[in-house]
Amino acid sequence: MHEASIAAGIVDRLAAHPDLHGRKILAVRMKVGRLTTVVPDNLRFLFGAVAVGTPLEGVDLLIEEVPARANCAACGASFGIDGPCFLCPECGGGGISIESGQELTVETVDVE
Amino acid sequence: MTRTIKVLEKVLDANDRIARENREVFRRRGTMVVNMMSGPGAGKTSILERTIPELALRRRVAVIEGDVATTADAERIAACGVPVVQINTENIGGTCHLEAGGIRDALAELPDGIDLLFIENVGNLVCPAEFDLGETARVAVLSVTEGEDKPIKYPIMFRAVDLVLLTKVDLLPHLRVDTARLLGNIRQVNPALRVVRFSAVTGEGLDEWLAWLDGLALRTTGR
Repeated sequence: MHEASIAAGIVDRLAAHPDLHGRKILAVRMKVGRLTTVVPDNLRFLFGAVAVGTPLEGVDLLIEEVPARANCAACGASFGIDGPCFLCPECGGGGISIESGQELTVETVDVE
Repeated sequence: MTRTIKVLEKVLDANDRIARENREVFRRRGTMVVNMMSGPGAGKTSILERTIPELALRRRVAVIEGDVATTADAERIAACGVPVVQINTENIGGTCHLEAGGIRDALAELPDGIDLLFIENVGNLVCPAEFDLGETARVAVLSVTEGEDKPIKYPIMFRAVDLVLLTKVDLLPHLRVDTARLLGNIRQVNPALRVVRFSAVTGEGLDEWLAWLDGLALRTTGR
């Protein structure tokens, strides 16, 4: 829901990043987990809009959507989470640990 | 030729860094901080109006109010006689949630010696859950007038909190809400989550809520 400020934050951070200074940026690669409130399409769109007039203008924002997976502490099962159920599908237990799906990271930048 | 530069930074790093600093400030000052979140109109301010007179007898309470606009909520809290700071997010870009930086700035306007700081977040079940403010604990306020489905529609929020205040229970005789199904939905999203039935009108749940706050205070600041 706040993709605009996230997009602005990414643009600002990368425009000032010491390793990217003076380099022609081709693409930005991100991970967005399914358990975050960020909608990848919105983020891509707003990134394009916010980047105009900056070194990130015209750069593709490539998003890897990370699925939500969890482990059950009680029975050791590993399972994916698709809907709003956070109970272990094997034993019904609630003592789960989220292994993936909460990522919101800028991973790498492709430069010329 | 294309080269790959590693960045490996969390988008929320900047917020989380300030949140850690806030948390350290609170720890040094012995301030317990409770972040109250809900959808708009669930009853956060009314809960504080009911709670503060009881609490202020034995603790120094203060409130940070977060809203997109108006000082309406801060005025209600001020009438309870405790220090309150209003953050209007429309002044900082119209965000739908409070961030750690806003809390840090608001702290400068609060007096010393606060035991218990309530942060009343912007009414929104989506974004506030993702922003660490440096708080001790998080509470979701859910009113029975919102139906049974909020927990399964907003699982991230209900997994991000330590307590649910299920409020406006005085209205249950006038509603057709299925509270068993509502509690079942909370259980499937976050099985360990404690739910306290509450009414700011009748005072139901007030003792339980105060006891929870006392327990939290004992575990964190030792008093």
